[in-house]
Amino acid sequence: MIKFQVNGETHSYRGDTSMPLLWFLRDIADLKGTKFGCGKGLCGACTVHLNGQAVRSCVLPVQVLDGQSVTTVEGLSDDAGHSIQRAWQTLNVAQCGYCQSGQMMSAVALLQANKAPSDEDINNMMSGNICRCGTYPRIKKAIKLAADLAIKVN
Amino acid sequence: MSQVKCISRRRWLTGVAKTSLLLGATLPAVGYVPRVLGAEDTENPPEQEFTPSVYLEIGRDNRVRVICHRSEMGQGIRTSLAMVVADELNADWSQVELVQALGGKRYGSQNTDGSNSIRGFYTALREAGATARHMLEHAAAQRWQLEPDLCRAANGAVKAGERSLSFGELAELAATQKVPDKSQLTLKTKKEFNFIGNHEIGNLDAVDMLTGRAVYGIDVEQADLAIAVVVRPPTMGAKPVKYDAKDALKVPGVIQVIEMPELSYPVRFQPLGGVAVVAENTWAAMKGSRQLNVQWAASEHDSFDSQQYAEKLEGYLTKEMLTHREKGDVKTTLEQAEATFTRRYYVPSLAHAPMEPPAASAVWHHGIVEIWAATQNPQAAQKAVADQFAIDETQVKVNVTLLGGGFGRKSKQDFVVEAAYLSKSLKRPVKVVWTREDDLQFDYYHACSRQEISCALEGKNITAWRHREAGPGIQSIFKSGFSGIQFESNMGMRDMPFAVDNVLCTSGPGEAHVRYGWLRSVANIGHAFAIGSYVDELAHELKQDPFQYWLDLLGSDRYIDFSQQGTKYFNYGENSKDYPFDVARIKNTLRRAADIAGWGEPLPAGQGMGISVHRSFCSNVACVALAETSGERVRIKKIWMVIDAGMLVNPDRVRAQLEGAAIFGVSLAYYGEITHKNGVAQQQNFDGYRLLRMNETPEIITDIIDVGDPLPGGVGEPGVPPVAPAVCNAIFAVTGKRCRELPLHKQGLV
Repeated sequence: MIKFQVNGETHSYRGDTSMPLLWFLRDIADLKGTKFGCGKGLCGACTVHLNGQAVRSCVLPVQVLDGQSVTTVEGLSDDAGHSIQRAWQTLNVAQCGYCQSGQMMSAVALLQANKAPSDEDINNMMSGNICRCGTYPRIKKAIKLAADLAIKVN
Repeated sequence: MSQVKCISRRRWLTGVAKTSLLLGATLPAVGYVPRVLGAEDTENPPEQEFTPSVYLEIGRDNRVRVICHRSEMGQGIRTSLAMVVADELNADWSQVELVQALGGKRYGSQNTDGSNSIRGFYTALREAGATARHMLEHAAAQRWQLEPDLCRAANGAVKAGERSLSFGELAELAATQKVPDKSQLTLKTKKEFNFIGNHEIGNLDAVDMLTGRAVYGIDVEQADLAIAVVVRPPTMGAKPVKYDAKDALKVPGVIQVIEMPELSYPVRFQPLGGVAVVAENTWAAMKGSRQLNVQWAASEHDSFDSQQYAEKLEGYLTKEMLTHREKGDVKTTLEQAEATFTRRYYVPSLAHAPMEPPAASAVWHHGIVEIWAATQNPQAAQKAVADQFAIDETQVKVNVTLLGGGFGRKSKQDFVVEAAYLSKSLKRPVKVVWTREDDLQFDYYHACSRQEISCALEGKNITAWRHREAGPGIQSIFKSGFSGIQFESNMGMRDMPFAVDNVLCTSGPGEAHVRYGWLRSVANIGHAFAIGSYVDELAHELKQDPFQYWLDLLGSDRYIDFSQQGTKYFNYGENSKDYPFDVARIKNTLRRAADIAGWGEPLPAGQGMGISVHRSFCSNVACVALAETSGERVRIKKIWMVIDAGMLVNPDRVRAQLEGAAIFGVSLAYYGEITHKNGVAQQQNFDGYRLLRMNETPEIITDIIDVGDPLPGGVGEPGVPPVAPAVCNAIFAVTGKRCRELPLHKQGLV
């Protein structure tokens, strides 16, 4: 049996341990905010945090998760009150919204490591996340706004 | 609150009183909204509610529920439609809620494509809001024994002097008022708008989207839901000969292996066939599908090779099958010209690649099939499912989820029919999930297009224009053996706007070996690329400034009546009085783009600009691209996008669509290409089919022109067509290398 935390709650799992975390989250834990985009770690739609680091959950089998801690978009806030969500809402970033969970999880990981990222820092971190609608310019602005918001809060 | 739960609790099906009214010229004039399928609503007897239109209801709870009959795929239509209704109603924005409509004919067309949601329903939705306002005001007048003129709706209440009643308090009485004729309605003036044209409305779905609660097609849950992954024939029309169902069934969680129905021609929106693995969860279904080892019979399309096909199209250019526009005598003028100029262009097949691959769920109960799908067209889903099972469309209930992008892919209902088929076979709710590989290999591709433009020249004046095209067309999915394009020439070919006396537009054959379909902007992509590149080439040939030369070619300010220009032009279904083909506005848009980009000002070494403009979907968009060399390669550093889309409802979303269109356009110019070998698509995932990423995205400046037109044009699609030619023209300006065959990456230019 594998035990790990998702958004602070302990999950025990006895099934097929080759199952990627993405499908565990969506089909077993019923946390559908984490999205499927490619299944190969190419698009970032499935990005979650593993012990605070951004990872692609579609290529991460649950067998490596024993004792680990996972955070998904549902773990950011219930009311879109996290600074990244507020920045996203202020700048009306989302178009279809599908990739935005992954975008925000990448952005949160970036800001945790780097309180005031440059354009290049943002490009480096965010270029693994594809948005077909083309929201990149607003994502970039929103990350800077979220950095400002976080500074104000602290 | 999730959207799907919201739909299942709907009471509006039953809550329609005799006052219900259908608005809009395209809608059938029935006096009531019929009860729709399913028995679940009887458990929830309706509150007395005011339902003045199929698009709107007002509850005693003082909530204004706008019924959105169009699909939300990122264009912001749910919010934008609500803005229109709520504005004419004089609602308070905080009382507005959205209800996503089921598929149903009473709404008029729900086919969310053609950049037509606002353009097609702006007036009908305003009238819906104004009708409700009128009836609320009359209800208040009755209650207060006042003249209706003294009662005015504002901010969600009707007021007369000190007196005030909320919409909720008036709903019951309003439902008994006489429905006004359209002639009795007073629509607001532009100055009176509160929401229409407001930049700061935001997005009613934002919190759901940003917290992960928004429900897309792939997120649908039902009790006892099984998940299916289908192994489809790698070549269109191939049938499974043999497969290892046993091995698939050994995978824990796999429930059943089900052979899909055979594909017949024309393919329309049928499933492609193949073998499905149905399982208790998505991973088990995916894993099981890899154990099937399906062997396929031969298909007539096994030898399809897109490289050879593209070469073959060169020869097809001169096989003139259809004449799309003919005016004057092009042949003689070209033969006798002092100079001619001919260039050929090619745009390859493209994939839609929405971030959410197609997904749909279905369940059968009591002869009714209920669907939940990320579909752009629930009415087409009803028809496709009804056709497949020889049932009536009214037996197909389609719930529309949010779409994780659409771009035209989700107008095609094959994935919906798959879900219905599998649910019927398994006698259990089934969700079909497409993998990214499925999405890219089994798309209804944007059709490749080979084009040739020739001109006869007298000095810098064009005396004859000949545009030839060859390639497969969209009709091939609806008519067996259909070859070449047909209506596609309406999108940028036959409506070529230059003032030229002799014009000939023709097309040759183009057999279909895969499924083709409409993708954002459709054939405008290829036509705008060819014409936008050609004008630039000709300008350079004649040593003219490309911007000035565009203006010269566009000629005098005028409305073009294409019936006098040797063609019948569909003008996106709009009449020429409301939506004239106005050359002055095209030029104006082009001038604005040149102006804000600083066209003509000196640039640093290693930089160059390209420009293009295109009218489509009754809007004009101009694009200027700034290219910069970077070692061996070149990149687009900045893009200016200007739109004249007439009246704007939601300006922030218009800008968002322009930003997205610039990125969509650069993406297809840099990387877009689907190729086939032995009938099989060669791009499997985002490594093979590249999309623009953030680090490659240019700075994008958007600008909106408002000429005071009271009617809205299209917004979602018109932005894309001028981008690729502007990009290639900019690259030529800085490198001297002309790219006539997309994508640029293949030419080693980016």
